[in-house]
Amino acid sequence: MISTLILVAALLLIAGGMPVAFAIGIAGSSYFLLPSTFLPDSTAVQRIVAASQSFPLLAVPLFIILGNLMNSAGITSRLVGLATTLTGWMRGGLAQSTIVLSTLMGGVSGSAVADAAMQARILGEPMVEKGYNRGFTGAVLAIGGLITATLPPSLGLILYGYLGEVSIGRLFIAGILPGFLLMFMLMVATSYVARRDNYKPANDRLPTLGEVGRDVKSGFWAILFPILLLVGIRFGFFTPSEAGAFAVLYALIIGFFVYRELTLAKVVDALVQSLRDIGMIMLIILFSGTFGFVITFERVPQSIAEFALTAITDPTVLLFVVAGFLLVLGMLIEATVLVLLLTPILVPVVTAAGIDPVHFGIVMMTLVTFGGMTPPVGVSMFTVCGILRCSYRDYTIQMIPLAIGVLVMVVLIILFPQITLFLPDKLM
Amino acid sequence: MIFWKYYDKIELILGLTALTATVLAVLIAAIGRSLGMPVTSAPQFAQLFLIWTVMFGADLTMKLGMHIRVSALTDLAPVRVQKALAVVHSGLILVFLGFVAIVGWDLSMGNWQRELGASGLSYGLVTLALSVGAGLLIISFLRRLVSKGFVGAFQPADDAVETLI
Repeated sequence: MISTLILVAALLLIAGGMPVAFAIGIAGSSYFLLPSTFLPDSTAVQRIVAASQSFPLLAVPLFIILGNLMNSAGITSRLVGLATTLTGWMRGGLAQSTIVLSTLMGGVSGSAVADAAMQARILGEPMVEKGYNRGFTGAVLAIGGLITATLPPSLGLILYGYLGEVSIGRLFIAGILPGFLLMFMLMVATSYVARRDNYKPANDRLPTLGEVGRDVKSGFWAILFPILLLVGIRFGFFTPSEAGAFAVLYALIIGFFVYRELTLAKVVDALVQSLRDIGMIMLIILFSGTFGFVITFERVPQSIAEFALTAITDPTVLLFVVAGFLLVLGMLIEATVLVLLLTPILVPVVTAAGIDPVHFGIVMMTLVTFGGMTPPVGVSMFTVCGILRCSYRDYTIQMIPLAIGVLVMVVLIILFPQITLFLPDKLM
Repeated sequence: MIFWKYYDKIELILGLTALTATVLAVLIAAIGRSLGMPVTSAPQFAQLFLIWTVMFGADLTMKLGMHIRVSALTDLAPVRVQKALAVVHSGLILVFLGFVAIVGWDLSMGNWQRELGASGLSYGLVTLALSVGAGLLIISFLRRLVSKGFVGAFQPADDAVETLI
């Protein structure tokens, strides 16, 4: 009961426009100040500190730095070249290439919004000049970013694993097939739109082997990176946090010595940007420490599990119900916030129902991240439409085929858990 | 103000130092472990530097008014309502940060004897970050209130919206 009140208080403060970190911190801490709580007030602050003292959590700042380093290290521009060569011959080739680019970048960056924003800046205007509808350009760039949500190293999956005590290594490997499935679905949807609206291919012929070889060679070090990362984690050479540190080192070496595009000034810029990003996202993580504690202390997951499992006995039906709930919430609330608030509640519930938490993690991350790409409140949508100056109405109409692609993919993953679990079961 | 110029610069340098130290500590931990010579104190150092990084970073973000918030609903509300909400929120945030700063300080002093894992450092240094960070956030928030007013204090410098996942 009290925990419901606290959750409602947090949501009201957020809806009222208070910065999310403070809304969650204030609502969570207020529990300790209630006369009915016998815990000392200082527990609130102890929980905030405790939230920061975790080695797995160090993966978050490291992959944030990596994302910011990639552009200045020259990795991004080489991947753009490769993606265009691979898909330029298709109908709507430029749009297809942005989807492939998101897949390539997904293996290095971990953020859907960062991916969408970067692509909107580099590829948005060129697409509009080639005759693409502004709304569709925005939609394909924003929703393409969803691929990064499941492909390792996804920031969301790191957070989910940390909060739900699920193996981050398994989550990373489980996300690979869904990432490629999503790429396929989005390419099918794009191809439909290209036919419907008569978008032309960017090249009039298939790329020659030589051209593909040239671009693979120039992007070699960038493509090699996610493979090294996964092999390293799979064989236990390093944990996800350690992988993050090696990745930063790798990007520095490639940027300074191989591509020779990095300068000290660019590194400092990337670090300043990272410091801000880390402060912004991790303050929410720290302040939600009290919140997570209250939820566990009041046995909220257990109560929900008891209630849900008496109402719904079939795990697949339960997963569909929870997925529907996440889709709606995701459309209203920012993804990071949802992951922080709901992971500690939902993971015990689905585990009790016999659903693999790794499987659920992929479904959850896909849906809450997708919510950021849809109206009425979507950070990716706002960002991309802000950069491209496309109207939300146009964006919404044009995103429908792509959204159907995403939802079909989610339904497939729910119905066939093996899509997520096959690789981790085989490999780990 | 020349004072604030130096204040901001020093804080940025401290934040960047903490960030770099975090990366190096994880790297040392990782390299040590892969070579079969684990450096047991490195993870503790990494976590200590991390909380300092977060607090400095959070304050930098506060100075720019860039902490993630949902403004879709309040933007539709009349200016008077927006202002009233901003006044209430400002009060709550300042009380909350004051609470964190004071309790964090007490905890830090109380924990000074407790050792942080194998590092030989005091656990109090970890808690101190929260206390100092909350203090910095209070200063930056007050500076924004003075320069931008209640409603403007919550809005980013330009219209940039940022988030990470």
